[in-house]
Amino acid sequence: MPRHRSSAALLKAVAALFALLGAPLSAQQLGFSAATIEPSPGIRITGTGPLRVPITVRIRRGYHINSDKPNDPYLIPTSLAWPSVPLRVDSVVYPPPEEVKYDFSDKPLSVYSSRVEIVTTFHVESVPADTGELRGSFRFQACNDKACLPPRTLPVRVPVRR
Amino acid sequence: MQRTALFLAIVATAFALSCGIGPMPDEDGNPAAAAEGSANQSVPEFSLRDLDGKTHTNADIEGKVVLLNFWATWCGPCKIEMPWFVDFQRKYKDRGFTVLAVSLDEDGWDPVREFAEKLEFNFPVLLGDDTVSDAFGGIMVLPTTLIVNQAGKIVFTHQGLVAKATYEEEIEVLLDVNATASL
Repeated sequence: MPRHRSSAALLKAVAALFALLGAPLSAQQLGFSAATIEPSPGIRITGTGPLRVPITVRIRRGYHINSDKPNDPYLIPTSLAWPSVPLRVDSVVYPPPEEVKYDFSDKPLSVYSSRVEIVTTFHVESVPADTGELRGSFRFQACNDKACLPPRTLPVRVPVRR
Repeated sequence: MQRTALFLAIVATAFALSCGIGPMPDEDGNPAAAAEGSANQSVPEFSLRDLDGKTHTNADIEGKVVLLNFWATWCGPCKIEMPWFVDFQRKYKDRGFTVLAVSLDEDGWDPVREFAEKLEFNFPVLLGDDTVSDAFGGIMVLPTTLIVNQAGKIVFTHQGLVAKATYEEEIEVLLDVNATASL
Protein backbone atom coordinates (compact mmCIF):
# COMPACT_ATOMS: atom_id res chain seq x y z
CA MET A 1 0.00 0.00 0.00
CA PRO A 2 2.68 2.56 0.91
CA ARG A 3 4.32 1.70 -2.38
CA HIS A 4 1.10 2.59 -4.24
CA ARG A 5 0.86 5.79 -2.29
CA SER A 6 4.38 6.85 -3.25
CA SER A 7 3.70 6.02 -6.90
CA ALA A 8 0.53 8.07 -6.82
CA ALA A 9 2.44 10.97 -5.31
CA LEU A 10 5.04 10.70 -8.03
CA LEU A 11 2.34 10.66 -10.71
CA LYS A 12 0.79 13.74 -9.13
CA ALA A 13 4.18 15.45 -9.26
CA VAL A 14 4.52 14.49 -12.93
CA ALA A 15 1.06 15.89 -13.66
CA ALA A 16 1.93 19.12 -11.83
CA LEU A 17 5.15 19.40 -13.82
CA PHE A 18 3.20 19.04 -17.04
CA ALA A 19 0.71 21.64 -15.89
CA LEU A 20 3.38 24.15 -14.85
CA LEU A 21 5.84 23.78 -17.64
CA GLY A 22 4.34 21.63 -20.34
CA ALA A 23 1.53 23.90 -21.53
CA PRO A 24 3.53 26.74 -23.02
CA LEU A 25 4.71 24.88 -26.08
CA SER A 26 5.40 27.53 -28.67
CA ALA A 27 3.54 27.92 -31.94
CA GLN A 28 6.88 27.71 -33.72
CA GLN A 29 7.51 24.30 -32.22
CA LEU A 30 4.10 23.21 -33.40
CA GLY A 31 4.64 24.64 -36.90
CA PHE A 32 1.42 26.57 -36.53
CA SER A 33 0.29 28.48 -39.61
CA ALA A 34 -2.80 30.67 -39.88
CA ALA A 35 -2.91 30.06 -43.63
CA THR A 36 -2.28 26.98 -45.72
CA ILE A 37 -2.03 26.32 -49.44
CA GLU A 38 -4.42 23.73 -50.80
CA PRO A 39 -2.55 21.05 -52.72
CA SER A 40 -2.84 21.79 -56.43
CA PRO A 41 -4.32 19.09 -58.64
CA GLY A 42 -1.74 20.15 -61.20
CA ILE A 43 -1.91 21.54 -64.69
CA ARG A 44 -1.69 20.05 -68.13
CA ILE A 45 0.31 21.90 -70.76
CA THR A 46 -0.99 20.93 -74.15
CA GLY A 47 0.02 23.89 -76.24
CA THR A 48 1.56 27.31 -76.32
CA GLY A 49 -0.12 30.51 -75.16
CA PRO A 50 -1.64 31.68 -71.87
CA LEU A 51 -1.88 29.20 -69.01
CA ARG A 52 -4.12 29.99 -66.06
CA VAL A 53 -3.00 28.56 -62.70
CA PRO A 54 -5.22 29.13 -59.64
CA ILE A 55 -3.80 28.75 -56.15
CA THR A 56 -6.18 28.38 -53.22
CA VAL A 57 -5.28 29.64 -49.77
CA ARG A 58 -7.23 28.64 -46.67
CA ILE A 59 -7.13 31.02 -43.74
CA ARG A 60 -7.96 29.73 -40.29
CA ARG A 61 -11.15 30.82 -38.61
CA GLY A 62 -10.69 33.98 -36.57
CA TYR A 63 -7.65 35.12 -38.54
CA HIS A 64 -7.15 37.48 -41.43
CA ILE A 65 -4.17 38.17 -43.64
CA ASN A 66 -3.41 41.50 -45.29
CA SER A 67 -4.49 41.88 -48.89
CA ASP A 68 -1.93 42.42 -51.65
CA LYS A 69 -2.46 46.17 -51.18
CA PRO A 70 -2.90 46.89 -47.47
CA ASN A 71 -4.00 50.43 -46.73
CA ASP A 72 -1.39 50.98 -44.04
CA PRO A 73 2.25 51.32 -45.11
CA TYR A 74 3.48 49.37 -42.08
CA LEU A 75 1.47 46.26 -42.95
CA ILE A 76 2.98 43.38 -44.89
CA PRO A 77 1.19 42.65 -48.16
CA THR A 78 0.23 39.16 -49.25
CA SER A 79 2.24 38.09 -52.26
CA LEU A 80 2.57 35.12 -54.55
CA ALA A 81 5.88 34.94 -56.41
CA TRP A 82 7.30 32.56 -58.98
CA PRO A 83 11.01 33.35 -58.82
CA SER A 84 12.42 30.49 -60.88
CA VAL A 85 9.80 28.97 -63.15
CA PRO A 86 10.68 28.20 -66.76
CA LEU A 87 7.53 30.02 -67.94
CA ARG A 88 6.95 33.74 -68.33
CA VAL A 89 4.63 35.19 -65.68
CA ASP A 90 2.09 37.43 -67.40
CA SER A 91 0.02 38.36 -64.36
CA VAL A 92 -0.80 37.47 -60.77
CA VAL A 93 -4.37 38.46 -59.96
CA TYR A 94 -5.48 38.71 -56.36
CA PRO A 95 -9.16 38.65 -55.40
CA PRO A 96 -10.92 41.81 -54.21
CA PRO A 97 -10.15 42.33 -50.51
CA GLU A 98 -12.61 42.78 -47.66
CA GLU A 99 -12.55 46.10 -45.82
CA VAL A 100 -12.84 45.23 -42.14
CA LYS A 101 -12.69 47.50 -39.11
CA TYR A 102 -10.98 45.91 -36.11
CA ASP A 103 -10.88 47.21 -32.55
CA PHE A 104 -7.15 47.79 -32.86
CA SER A 105 -7.32 49.86 -36.04
CA ASP A 106 -8.55 53.41 -36.57
CA LYS A 107 -9.76 52.67 -40.07
CA PRO A 108 -10.91 49.56 -41.94
CA LEU A 109 -8.11 47.27 -43.06
CA SER A 110 -7.83 45.64 -46.46
CA VAL A 111 -7.74 41.93 -45.69
CA TYR A 112 -8.50 38.40 -46.79
CA SER A 113 -10.12 35.72 -44.66
CA SER A 114 -11.50 32.20 -44.99
CA ARG A 115 -10.62 31.20 -48.58
CA VAL A 116 -8.72 33.09 -51.24
CA GLU A 117 -7.97 32.16 -54.82
CA ILE A 118 -5.02 33.83 -56.51
CA VAL A 119 -4.71 33.31 -60.23
CA THR A 120 -1.40 33.41 -62.08
CA THR A 121 -1.36 33.55 -65.85
CA PHE A 122 1.81 32.16 -67.38
CA HIS A 123 2.75 32.36 -71.02
CA VAL A 124 3.83 29.07 -72.53
CA GLU A 125 6.20 29.60 -75.45
CA SER A 126 6.97 25.95 -76.01
CA VAL A 127 5.50 22.79 -74.58
CA PRO A 128 7.98 21.33 -72.08
CA ALA A 129 9.40 17.93 -72.95
CA ASP A 130 9.20 16.64 -69.38
CA THR A 131 6.75 16.70 -66.56
CA GLY A 132 7.74 18.50 -63.40
CA GLU A 133 6.37 21.17 -61.14
CA LEU A 134 6.11 24.92 -60.90
CA ARG A 135 7.55 26.23 -57.66
CA GLY A 136 6.46 29.46 -56.12
CA SER A 137 6.32 31.12 -52.73
CA PHE A 138 3.41 32.59 -50.85
CA ARG A 139 4.15 35.27 -48.26
CA PHE A 140 1.60 36.54 -45.78
CA GLN A 141 1.21 37.95 -42.31
CA ALA A 142 -1.76 36.98 -40.18
CA CYS A 143 -3.53 38.51 -37.22
CA ASN A 144 -6.69 37.97 -35.27
CA ASP A 145 -8.43 40.73 -33.33
CA LYS A 146 -6.02 40.48 -30.40
CA ALA A 147 -2.66 39.33 -31.71
CA CYS A 148 -0.48 38.90 -34.77
CA LEU A 149 1.79 36.16 -36.00
CA PRO A 150 5.12 36.90 -37.70
CA PRO A 151 5.23 37.01 -41.50
CA ARG A 152 5.58 33.62 -43.06
CA THR A 153 6.46 32.21 -46.47
CA LEU A 154 4.96 28.93 -47.65
CA PRO A 155 6.16 26.92 -50.64
CA VAL A 156 3.74 26.57 -53.54
CA ARG A 157 4.01 23.54 -55.80
CA VAL A 158 1.99 22.88 -58.92
CA PRO A 159 2.58 19.56 -60.68
CA VAL A 160 2.90 19.90 -64.46
CA ARG A 161 1.68 17.16 -66.77
CA ARG A 162 1.86 16.95 -70.52
CA MET B 1 4.57 0.59 -10.90
CA GLN B 2 7.51 2.56 -9.53
CA ARG B 3 9.42 2.02 -12.77
CA THR B 4 6.47 3.26 -14.80
CA ALA B 5 6.14 6.33 -12.62
CA LEU B 6 9.86 6.99 -12.87
CA PHE B 7 9.69 6.66 -16.64
CA LEU B 8 6.76 9.10 -16.77
CA ALA B 9 8.68 11.53 -14.59
CA ILE B 10 11.68 11.42 -16.94
CA VAL B 11 9.45 11.90 -19.99
CA ALA B 12 7.65 14.80 -18.33
CA THR B 13 10.90 16.46 -17.30
CA ALA B 14 12.35 16.14 -20.80
CA PHE B 15 9.14 17.56 -22.24
CA ALA B 16 9.07 20.43 -19.80
CA LEU B 17 12.71 21.31 -20.40
CA SER B 18 12.15 21.40 -24.14
CA CYS B 19 9.39 23.97 -23.79
CA GLY B 20 9.74 27.72 -23.94
CA ILE B 21 7.50 30.46 -22.67
CA GLY B 22 5.56 30.84 -25.90
CA PRO B 23 1.89 29.98 -26.04
CA MET B 24 0.14 26.99 -27.49
CA PRO B 25 -2.74 28.12 -29.70
CA ASP B 26 -6.10 26.69 -28.70
CA GLU B 27 -7.95 24.17 -30.84
CA ASP B 28 -9.01 26.97 -33.19
CA GLY B 29 -5.42 28.07 -33.42
CA ASN B 30 -6.12 31.22 -31.47
CA PRO B 31 -2.87 32.20 -29.74
CA ALA B 32 -4.45 34.99 -27.74
CA ALA B 33 -6.80 32.54 -26.07
CA ALA B 34 -3.83 30.85 -24.42
CA ALA B 35 -2.29 34.14 -23.58
CA GLU B 36 -2.08 34.54 -19.85
CA GLY B 37 0.40 33.03 -17.50
CA SER B 38 2.99 33.50 -14.86
CA ALA B 39 6.14 31.56 -15.43
CA ASN B 40 8.53 32.88 -12.76
CA GLN B 41 11.47 32.11 -15.00
CA SER B 42 14.51 34.35 -15.10
CA VAL B 43 14.88 36.78 -17.98
CA PRO B 44 17.26 35.11 -20.44
CA GLU B 45 20.62 36.77 -21.12
CA PHE B 46 20.24 39.53 -23.66
CA SER B 47 22.36 42.26 -25.18
CA LEU B 48 20.54 44.55 -27.59
CA ARG B 49 21.10 48.01 -29.02
CA ASP B 50 18.56 50.77 -28.80
CA LEU B 51 17.71 53.48 -31.31
CA ASP B 52 20.60 55.59 -30.08
CA GLY B 53 23.12 52.76 -30.37
CA LYS B 54 23.33 52.16 -26.62
CA THR B 55 23.59 48.50 -25.61
CA HIS B 56 21.11 47.18 -23.05
CA THR B 57 21.77 44.01 -21.07
CA ASN B 58 20.33 42.21 -18.06
CA ALA B 59 22.51 44.39 -15.84
CA ASP B 60 20.51 47.45 -16.89
CA ILE B 61 17.28 46.06 -15.51
CA GLU B 62 18.62 44.71 -12.22
CA GLY B 63 16.54 45.89 -9.31
CA LYS B 64 13.82 47.31 -11.56
CA VAL B 65 10.30 46.31 -12.40
CA VAL B 66 10.31 45.95 -16.18
CA LEU B 67 7.58 45.76 -18.74
CA LEU B 68 9.34 43.89 -21.54
CA ASN B 69 7.29 44.13 -24.69
CA PHE B 70 7.86 42.32 -27.99
CA TRP B 71 6.20 44.12 -30.88
CA ALA B 72 6.50 45.03 -34.54
CA THR B 73 5.40 47.94 -36.70
CA TRP B 74 3.17 45.59 -38.72
CA CYS B 75 1.31 44.44 -35.60
CA GLY B 76 -1.98 46.30 -35.25
CA PRO B 77 -2.81 45.24 -31.67
CA CYS B 78 0.71 46.31 -30.59
CA LYS B 79 -0.09 49.88 -31.66
CA ILE B 80 -2.97 50.06 -29.19
CA GLU B 81 -0.66 49.29 -26.28
CA MET B 82 2.15 51.69 -27.11
CA PRO B 83 0.51 54.87 -25.80
CA TRP B 84 -0.23 52.98 -22.56
CA PHE B 85 3.45 52.14 -22.22
CA VAL B 86 4.34 55.79 -22.74
CA ASP B 87 1.97 56.58 -19.83
CA PHE B 88 3.48 53.86 -17.63
CA GLN B 89 7.00 55.10 -18.29
CA ARG B 90 6.01 58.62 -17.35
CA LYS B 91 4.06 57.53 -14.27
CA TYR B 92 6.37 54.87 -12.77
CA LYS B 93 9.86 55.68 -14.02
CA ASP B 94 10.89 57.35 -10.76
CA ARG B 95 9.74 54.34 -8.73
CA GLY B 96 12.25 51.91 -10.29
CA PHE B 97 10.31 50.94 -13.37
CA THR B 98 11.05 50.88 -17.06
CA VAL B 99 9.51 49.75 -20.28
CA LEU B 100 11.76 47.93 -22.75
CA ALA B 101 10.23 47.52 -26.19
CA VAL B 102 11.88 44.93 -28.41
CA SER B 103 10.91 45.23 -32.05
CA LEU B 104 10.94 42.05 -34.12
CA ASP B 105 10.72 43.93 -37.43
CA GLU B 106 12.73 42.15 -40.08
CA ASP B 107 13.40 45.31 -42.05
CA GLY B 108 15.72 46.83 -39.48
CA TRP B 109 15.70 50.23 -37.89
CA ASP B 110 14.06 52.40 -40.56
CA PRO B 111 10.39 51.55 -39.93
CA VAL B 112 11.00 51.21 -36.19
CA ARG B 113 12.68 54.62 -35.87
CA GLU B 114 9.91 56.32 -37.83
CA PHE B 115 7.25 54.62 -35.75
CA ALA B 116 8.95 55.39 -32.42
CA GLU B 117 9.29 59.06 -33.33
CA LYS B 118 5.69 59.26 -34.48
CA LEU B 119 4.37 57.82 -31.21
CA GLU B 120 6.92 59.73 -29.11
CA PHE B 121 8.27 56.71 -27.25
CA ASN B 122 9.87 57.76 -23.95
CA PHE B 123 11.45 54.35 -23.25
CA PRO B 124 14.26 52.34 -24.83
CA VAL B 125 13.35 50.69 -28.12
CA LEU B 126 15.55 47.71 -28.97
CA LEU B 127 15.82 45.72 -32.16
CA GLY B 128 15.46 41.96 -31.75
CA ASP B 129 15.78 39.04 -34.11
CA ASP B 130 15.20 35.29 -34.22
CA THR B 131 18.04 34.68 -31.77
CA VAL B 132 16.39 36.91 -29.19
CA SER B 133 13.02 35.36 -29.90
CA ASP B 134 14.48 31.88 -29.42
CA ALA B 135 16.21 32.92 -26.19
CA PHE B 136 12.80 33.88 -24.82
CA GLY B 137 11.34 30.53 -25.81
CA GLY B 138 10.13 31.45 -29.30
CA ILE B 139 8.09 34.64 -29.48
CA MET B 140 5.47 33.63 -32.01
CA VAL B 141 2.67 35.98 -31.04
CA LEU B 142 2.78 39.76 -30.98
CA PRO B 143 2.34 41.58 -28.77
CA THR B 144 4.02 39.45 -26.11
CA THR B 145 4.57 41.30 -22.86
CA LEU B 146 6.49 40.09 -19.85
CA ILE B 147 6.31 41.79 -16.48
CA VAL B 148 9.58 41.26 -14.67
CA ASN B 149 10.24 41.81 -10.97
CA GLN B 150 13.25 43.38 -9.28
CA ALA B 151 14.94 39.98 -9.04
CA GLY B 152 14.83 39.51 -12.81
CA LYS B 153 12.04 36.93 -12.69
CA ILE B 154 9.27 36.94 -15.24
CA VAL B 155 6.22 37.19 -13.01
CA PHE B 156 3.47 37.75 -15.58
CA THR B 157 3.29 36.82 -19.26
CA HIS B 158 0.72 38.16 -21.69
CA GLN B 159 0.28 37.23 -25.30
CA GLY B 160 -2.04 39.32 -27.37
CA LEU B 161 -3.80 42.50 -26.45
CA VAL B 162 -4.88 42.77 -22.81
CA ALA B 163 -6.45 45.56 -20.80
CA LYS B 164 -4.35 48.54 -19.77
CA ALA B 165 -5.64 48.11 -16.21
CA THR B 166 -4.23 44.58 -16.06
CA TYR B 167 -0.72 45.81 -16.75
CA GLU B 168 -1.17 48.67 -14.33
CA GLU B 169 -2.27 46.38 -11.50
CA GLU B 170 0.65 44.05 -12.05
CA ILE B 171 3.19 46.88 -12.14
CA GLU B 172 1.71 48.41 -8.99
CA VAL B 173 1.83 45.07 -7.16
CA LEU B 174 5.49 44.56 -7.98
CA LEU B 175 6.46 48.13 -7.16
CA ASP B 176 4.58 47.89 -3.86
CA VAL B 177 6.42 44.69 -2.94
CA ASN B 178 9.69 46.53 -3.34
CA ALA B 179 8.46 49.55 -1.39
CA THR B 180 7.27 47.33 1.48
CA ALA B 181 10.54 45.42 1.55
CA SER B 182 12.59 48.60 1.82
CA LEU B 183 10.64 49.93 4.82
